[in-house]
Amino acid sequence: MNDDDLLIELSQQGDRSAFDALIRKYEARAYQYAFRLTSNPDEASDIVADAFVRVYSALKNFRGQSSFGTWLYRILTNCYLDLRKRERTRRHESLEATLSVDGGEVQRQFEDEGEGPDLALERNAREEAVQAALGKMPEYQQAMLVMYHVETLTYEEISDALDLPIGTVKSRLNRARLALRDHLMQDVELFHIS
Amino acid sequence: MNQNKARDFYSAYFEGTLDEGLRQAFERAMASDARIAAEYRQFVRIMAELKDFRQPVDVPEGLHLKIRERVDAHITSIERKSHTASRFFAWRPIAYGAIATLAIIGVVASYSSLPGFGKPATAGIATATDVAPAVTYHDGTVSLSFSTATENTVTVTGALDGRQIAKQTLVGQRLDCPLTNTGASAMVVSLSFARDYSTIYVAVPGVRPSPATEGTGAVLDLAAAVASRYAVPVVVDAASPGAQTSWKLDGPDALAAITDELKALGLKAEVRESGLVWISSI
Repeated sequence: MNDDDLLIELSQQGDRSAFDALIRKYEARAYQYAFRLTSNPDEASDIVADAFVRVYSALKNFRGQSSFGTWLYRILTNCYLDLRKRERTRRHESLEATLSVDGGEVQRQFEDEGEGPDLALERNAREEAVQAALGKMPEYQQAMLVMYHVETLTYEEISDALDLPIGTVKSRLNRARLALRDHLMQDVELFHIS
Repeated sequence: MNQNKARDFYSAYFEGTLDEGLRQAFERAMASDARIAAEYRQFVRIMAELKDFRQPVDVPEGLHLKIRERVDAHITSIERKSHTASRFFAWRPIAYGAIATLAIIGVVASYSSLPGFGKPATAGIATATDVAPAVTYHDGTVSLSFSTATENTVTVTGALDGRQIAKQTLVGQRLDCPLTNTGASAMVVSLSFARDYSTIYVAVPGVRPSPATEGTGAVLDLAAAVASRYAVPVVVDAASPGAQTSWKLDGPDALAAITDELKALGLKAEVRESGLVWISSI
């Protein structure tokens, strides 16, 4: 029995310190995932906190069919989707919002703080552009891209986390990468894509 | 293979998972169609960008506390709905009473089968002497012993949720009762007496030591954490078991791990027979 299994079993039996240890073990990883999805520290913290509440509520039914980490990704993804759904309902501004300029519409852009000859700054600018492009994509595509490319989950783990067949994960991830390419191609200066 | 069809294979070709026939067809398409070749180069470039995207982000300092508060608020709302007022609720907004319930059930079963609890007719051995309650630890068993010449009642309660586990009235009798916890986790019980003696709290280890090392909460939570971590019983014989503290149990010595935190609360810890940890006021 590994540490996770033991902590989960103890938490299921009512050991408060074991549940706290589970939180401590996974909170940074959960935050990283949530932040890559939202680009917003407050939203990311909210998603992680909500996710652990759901973990607490559902832990007694957790049977270890997938790893705790994979299960947590599923819950985090659902919390993120719920957050965006609530936002749409409230008609709040989001990264997908457009701004009206001179009677026309332009896509909202992140401020570019990385201009200049310095390579590190350019790298930061590219990273921000990738983050911004991710923000414009459908939530499920974002989740897949971040799970695979940032969190380095395998196709099998993503399949478990999103409850999708592996073939579907592969084909959707391919489409998500192409969509990301389409977004980033618009920024020729940063990406030197020809 | 046209451009649309070729796009379906970008990822698989990049990852080297295309079968041989498709790989050759894809390479022929790239060689014969400059648009496919250019688009695939862009795709490769994006994959490289995503690789660079793995830099860890800084975690906000208050994240752990925020999670704890959110979980605690959730537990509070559950307790409110179920009307299970926790005895320790006022002391500790972080109420894990709902969690403790499972472990307590294990102890109820153990008590029920023991002389002194659940079987009043055979509860005690006749005695005419008053002996103050004592918690002892021998051969891996925690026991409560107590005798009274006149009537007194001992009540065993789950310390985290206030639920009564057992109650026994004695007159001219002695009680010797093992406190057995068959659950995986440590649990804390309070032993209170109708008269003469103050309440004693005992954290009884479960059957599995916990790997958890850090936490915050009341002194009783600390006692439970020590009992879980080091698999030893912990007695709290102090007036302020609800005082808040935090702990880090990362060494092999339970006493060394908690001494400083307890001292700050006006408490001390000592090891008694067979490793029983005793927390009391300085």
